[in-house]
Amino acid sequence: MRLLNLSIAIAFFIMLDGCNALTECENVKPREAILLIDVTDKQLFDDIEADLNANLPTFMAKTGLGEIAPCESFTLTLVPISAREGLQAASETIAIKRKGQSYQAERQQANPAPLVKLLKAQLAAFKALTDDETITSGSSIANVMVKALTHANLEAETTLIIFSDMIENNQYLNMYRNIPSAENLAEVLPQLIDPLVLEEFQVRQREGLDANIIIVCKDSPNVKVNARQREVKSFWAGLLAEMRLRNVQFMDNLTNIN
Amino acid sequence: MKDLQNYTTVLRDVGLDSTPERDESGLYHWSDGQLEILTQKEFNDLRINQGKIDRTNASLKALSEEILAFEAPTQALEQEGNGLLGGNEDEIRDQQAQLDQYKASLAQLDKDMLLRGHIPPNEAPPPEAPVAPPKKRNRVTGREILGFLLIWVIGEVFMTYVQWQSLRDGRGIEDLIVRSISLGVVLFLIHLVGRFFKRDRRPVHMVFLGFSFLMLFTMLLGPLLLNEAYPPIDGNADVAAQWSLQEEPATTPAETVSPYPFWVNFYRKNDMLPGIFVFLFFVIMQTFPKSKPKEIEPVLPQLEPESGKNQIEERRQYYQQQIKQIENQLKELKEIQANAIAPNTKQLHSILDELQAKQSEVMALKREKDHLLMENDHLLRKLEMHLKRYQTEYLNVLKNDQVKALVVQPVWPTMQDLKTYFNLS
Repeated sequence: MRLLNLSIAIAFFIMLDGCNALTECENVKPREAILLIDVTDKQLFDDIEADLNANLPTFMAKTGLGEIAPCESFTLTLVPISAREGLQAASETIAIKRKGQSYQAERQQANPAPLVKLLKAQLAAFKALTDDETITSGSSIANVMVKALTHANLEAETTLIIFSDMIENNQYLNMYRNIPSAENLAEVLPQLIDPLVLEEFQVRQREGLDANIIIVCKDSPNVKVNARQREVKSFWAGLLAEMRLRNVQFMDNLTNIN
Repeated sequence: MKDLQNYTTVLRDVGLDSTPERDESGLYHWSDGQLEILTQKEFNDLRINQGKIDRTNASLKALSEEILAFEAPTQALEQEGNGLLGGNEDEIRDQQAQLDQYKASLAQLDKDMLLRGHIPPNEAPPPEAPVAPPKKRNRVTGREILGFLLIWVIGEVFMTYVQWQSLRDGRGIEDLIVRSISLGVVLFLIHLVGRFFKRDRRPVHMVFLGFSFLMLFTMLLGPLLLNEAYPPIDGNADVAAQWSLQEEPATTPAETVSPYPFWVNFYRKNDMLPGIFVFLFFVIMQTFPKSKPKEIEPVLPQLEPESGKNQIEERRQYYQQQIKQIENQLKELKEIQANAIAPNTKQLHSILDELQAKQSEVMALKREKDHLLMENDHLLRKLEMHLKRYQTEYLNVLKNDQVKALVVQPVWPTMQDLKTYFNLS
């Protein structure tokens, strides 16, 4: 009889041990969203913030960007676009690292509360940056964008969302004065982006880097430039095509997503 | 050629008046031709064989006399042996009767004592003592296993269907497996202890079965009743609300405080507990030593006082001693008897051996004699055939000679004449 008890206990243990195959994820599939937010102008930033506050929930619900299934993870990275060329990224990740959990547990792990918290904190921080003249003295959208993409996870399905008026204004290019035509893009590209950064980006591309790019193109505080927004969009579409980034969408605000 | 020679011989005999005839005294006179036939070399064996037969007869006669001569000493030896046996036979018979009597007395004494509850010392258990029947091995049949699995599957499907919403929402796959195993364990233990109970009706088995059934019904019906009384909360997440930047970070339903009593939530989270309770009960039941069932003391007659007991023992010992003594005496008597008749037996055996040898010799001689007689018979038949041929030729010749036929009256020989000629017996 003691043998029977022992057998039952062993059988029980083996059955429970066999559950690992049902619950362990062989690998966790990553997804990443990189939000580049323009902080070079207070008015522009307010517009962006208002858009995020009003439309982000709908956007996320509609695109399902932040929804994760078991064995998936989602990383939200926030990067300010400013006069500085350096990458100041802040990230947070949510993940469901085991399968076969209760729906309740899965919902809890998929809850984007940490991401929302980060977003709120970063928006507050970015708001403070709009008062800093060294930050708002120009904008290096292209450099920041390439650097952000270069640092993205190669294995992840990456979505880059740029909230900006898309007016590049730095020592290499001042779009307030001149918006390069499509024919000059090949010449502009190495000037606009640090060659080393560009090279690294191209290497990463060869390794498999790709991203969906959504450009939420806001109105510029400069009315003159606003009138040329079509040219601005054309420039960026061409530039991104030159960089072999084909999946690009332009929209005015987050509700316009297809 | 032979026929020609025969014809010539007959012609000569007729010509020379050599006629076979019988005289007045009955003596048969052979013709010359007949005598030529009789004296042929091949028929000489008739006389030789007859000589051998005569000698064999003589030997047989002598042997018969010898065999007869053995009869007297054999009978004498037998009588002598019987006489020797007869001396001790009566004594042995008496001793044997006495031995049987003591043995019967001892058996009766033991039987009486056993009936009174006194087991004889150093004795094998009496043959009428009940022998425990060999335990039947309770084999688990395929049907039982199928029955168990069927109930398990039906129970599991029922439980899962009834409480899927609340179950899957709050429980992972591991939990579901544990809960299913828990149900399986309860069902299995009910089957197992049910078998024990059939074999050994212990109260603890009954209690266990009652408890297990209660737990089983709790596992099956508990969730159903709970879902009716306290419907599970729909915890589907509102993605848009979760991403709202206006409000405080949304919390999941799991984090919210359940509006239901503590025990409802506790049971929903730990519904494998009944299975664990049943399993623990089973382990405890099997691990702790069995309380020995009360032995039913046989109602025995009042035992005799100590002195009476001693007397019985003395009587037993007395019987045993007597039995042993008589058995020894019987053994000695039988040995004496065997020694006394040993020489006679030996002599008798030698006589019998000799007699057997003589009988074998007689048989051999008889076989030889029969062979010789058969050979002679064969030769006589052959001779008779030759003589018949001679007779036929003779009569043919006479038929052709009318004169001679009137004068000559041949007489033909019989078998006896042939035997007389050759002195055959």
